[in-house]
Amino acid sequence: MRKYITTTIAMSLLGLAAISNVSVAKADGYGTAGCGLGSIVFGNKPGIIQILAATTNGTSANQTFAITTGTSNCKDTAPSAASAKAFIQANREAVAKDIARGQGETIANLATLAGCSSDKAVGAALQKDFKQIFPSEKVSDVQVSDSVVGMLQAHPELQCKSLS
Amino acid sequence: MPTLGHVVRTLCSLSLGALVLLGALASGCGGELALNVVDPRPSSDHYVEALVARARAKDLAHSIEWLRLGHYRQGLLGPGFLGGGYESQADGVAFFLSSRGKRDPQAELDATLRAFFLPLHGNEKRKPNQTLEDVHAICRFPARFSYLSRELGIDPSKLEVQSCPAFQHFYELLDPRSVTLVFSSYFLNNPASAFGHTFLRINKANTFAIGKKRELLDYGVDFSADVDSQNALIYAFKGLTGLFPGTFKQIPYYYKVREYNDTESRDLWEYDLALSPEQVALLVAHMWEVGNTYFDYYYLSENCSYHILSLVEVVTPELDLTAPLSSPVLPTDTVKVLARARGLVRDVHYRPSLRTQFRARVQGMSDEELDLVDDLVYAPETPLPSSVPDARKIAVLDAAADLVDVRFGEALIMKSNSDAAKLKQRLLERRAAIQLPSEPLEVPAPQDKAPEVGHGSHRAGIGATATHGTYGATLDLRVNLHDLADPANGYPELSAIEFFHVRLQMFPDAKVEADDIAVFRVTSLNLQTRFDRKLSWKIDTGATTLDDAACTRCFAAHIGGGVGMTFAPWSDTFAFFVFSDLDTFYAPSLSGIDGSGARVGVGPFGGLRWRLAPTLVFLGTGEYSFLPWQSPKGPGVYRADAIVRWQFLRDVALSLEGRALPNGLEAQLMTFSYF
Repeated sequence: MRKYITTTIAMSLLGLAAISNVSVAKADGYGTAGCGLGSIVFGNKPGIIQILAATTNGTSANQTFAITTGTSNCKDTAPSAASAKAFIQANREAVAKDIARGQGETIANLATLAGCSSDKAVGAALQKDFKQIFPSEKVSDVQVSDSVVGMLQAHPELQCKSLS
Repeated sequence: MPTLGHVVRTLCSLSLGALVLLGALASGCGGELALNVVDPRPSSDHYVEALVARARAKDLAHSIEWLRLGHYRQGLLGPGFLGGGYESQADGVAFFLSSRGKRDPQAELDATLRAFFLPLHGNEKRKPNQTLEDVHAICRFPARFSYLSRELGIDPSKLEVQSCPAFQHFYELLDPRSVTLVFSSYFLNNPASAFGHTFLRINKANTFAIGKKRELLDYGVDFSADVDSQNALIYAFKGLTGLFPGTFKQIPYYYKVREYNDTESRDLWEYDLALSPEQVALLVAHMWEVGNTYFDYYYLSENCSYHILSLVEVVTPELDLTAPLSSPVLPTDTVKVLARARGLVRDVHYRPSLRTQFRARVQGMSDEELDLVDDLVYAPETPLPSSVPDARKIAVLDAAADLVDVRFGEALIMKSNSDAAKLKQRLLERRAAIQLPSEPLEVPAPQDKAPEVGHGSHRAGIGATATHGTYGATLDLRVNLHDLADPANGYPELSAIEFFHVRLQMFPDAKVEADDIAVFRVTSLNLQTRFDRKLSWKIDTGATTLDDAACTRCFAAHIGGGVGMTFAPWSDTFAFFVFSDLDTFYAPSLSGIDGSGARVGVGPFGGLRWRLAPTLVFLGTGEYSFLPWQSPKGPGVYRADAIVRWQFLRDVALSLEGRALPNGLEAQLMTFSYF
């Protein structure tokens, strides 16, 4: 009996701790990875105590995206090599899957950003080059973006006009 | 690229003069500044003063368009009192050209007209990258200019400003063609997002031009608080009292999709707004104006959802969108307002979260395929039998890769777990080796879960109660939002979140008893499946009625919670759950630990939720609590609840509720109205 009670208390406390941890701010160790998701998605999020105050999410610790601030490549989605790279860095996990799958939403958007003539052809070409783009899990987001853009440039038949 | 002409046409199609001017305007505007506001003096130019007089004669300052452009609201004391009774919700001083602008729409309009005609070589403060034009009133307030020149027919040849470089850059970046309101669904794991979130997506003309949607390249614009404190109490206090500034921000939609869809596994609902090109252009011009200022952020009222709607309202003067909202303003409330405004929503799209995508991928798989998916995420080298055709190998590998992302998404992005990254790498290598494209995944929208079909977010109920043979009346009020027995359409099937819920009972001897109060109560039931082992949890703070040997019908403060598991062997409409609970109570009349008024109870909790029909829900729960340090030592206590709730009208439900406590039974018959 005693054991059950102790276990229950421990479990409940652990559980609650786990829940509150979900949203506790993470240390930002992610400053040098180009336009990656890390710092944006896991920037500063409030913990569980704020529960009472926060009925709607609308918090942001990130002021760098204010409307009147000048743009940087990380925020630009006009066709160019730089914005294609920023796109790949921020979407790296999804891009990796779509390249392996030879198609997908990130490929279609990337093809538009790069000004390529056919997203189907881009998907097939990148799928074939998967091992060169992702030689190991250790390649950085920036390396991935460089090699994808490099691959697209190296395939003249893809006609990725915005990359030149 | 939008041509100047395009901006001109769309912004200001009615006035020929303004058209010419906006050609100049469209080549740029804007900038951030903190000015010392000095009212522009009456101009010596008769033309300008004639415009001011004409605007006064037409009473433009009190037109809906002008009031909305200035985010003016009627003061609490009514019109005609304290500066005309108006006050702007904008709080940044840079938003006003008159020193009285915040409370006086007329003074602001006069000052705006005069400022439009000021010469360029003023002594405005500029940032290094700003031109003289950028800090001129016309370039800071392109939407005001568009409106006033439409109403007054301003002669562009009288103006000095011929271009607005910064504004034009912003406009070209957004390349606006249409506007979509996006609702990101409930996310219980982050309390700040528990009620969802809304923001706007400005859809690019360019991506329409190629005939295919490229939504990831559009821009999301949202309104959020600039939080400067991680201290929970400061955060709560400042959030509730409007001490954080809220600003509008833009970010490519792909960041939003990755954050909400993937990392947080939240489904997105997208509402395409039926706005004309003129309205879209005006909205973007107005975004520029408010992008220059801030609004005090109030979590409960002037929050992200409210101000997103107040933007849309600026270009839809014929609609009253924010007026029907009552505090607290929830994102779903704003979605409902939009959906009910006739003709405003053109189309609705659904963007499934990563978890939803994974479920769709494994739905309909054979047992052998499910086993393979399961094996692959532990041992990525698991061989795929040659008897499995390529198309099925692809399906299995694609599902396995999604599962790795669902389980380790954060670790992958933060690069904090190299095993997860290795696993995914290996699965993708194997997938890429089959050089065929995957079939695009189609996930149909669950129409019955669209937020706008949900019941109203507030609830009031009245009914009869029978307690220990006495009869009385029950009154039930809840500020927000949903419990497990409430009508399930438009809400997550197995989540409940209640914010300020009070139940009172009145008996013939005129005694009013508080029966139950929840300040905050969340239940998140997560189904145990072979691929998802997430625990269920609940948390409850408030006060409730105890009725047992140590406490006869006493009303005790309560903080409790529990962790458990939920199973639904057939469908999520029939789910049962088992928890371990820990509860603490306090009431002066309670004989608890060492005879004090405090009680700690621990024990199992379990129940069944069965949605028999879309409008009929049964919820039964039971709990047994050991009272470990109770003195004098007594037996444990139990509590059992059963509810059958039938939604017989869209926003009305009938509820039969019974409760068993150690000292007896009670029952209620309630009618609930949701609004």
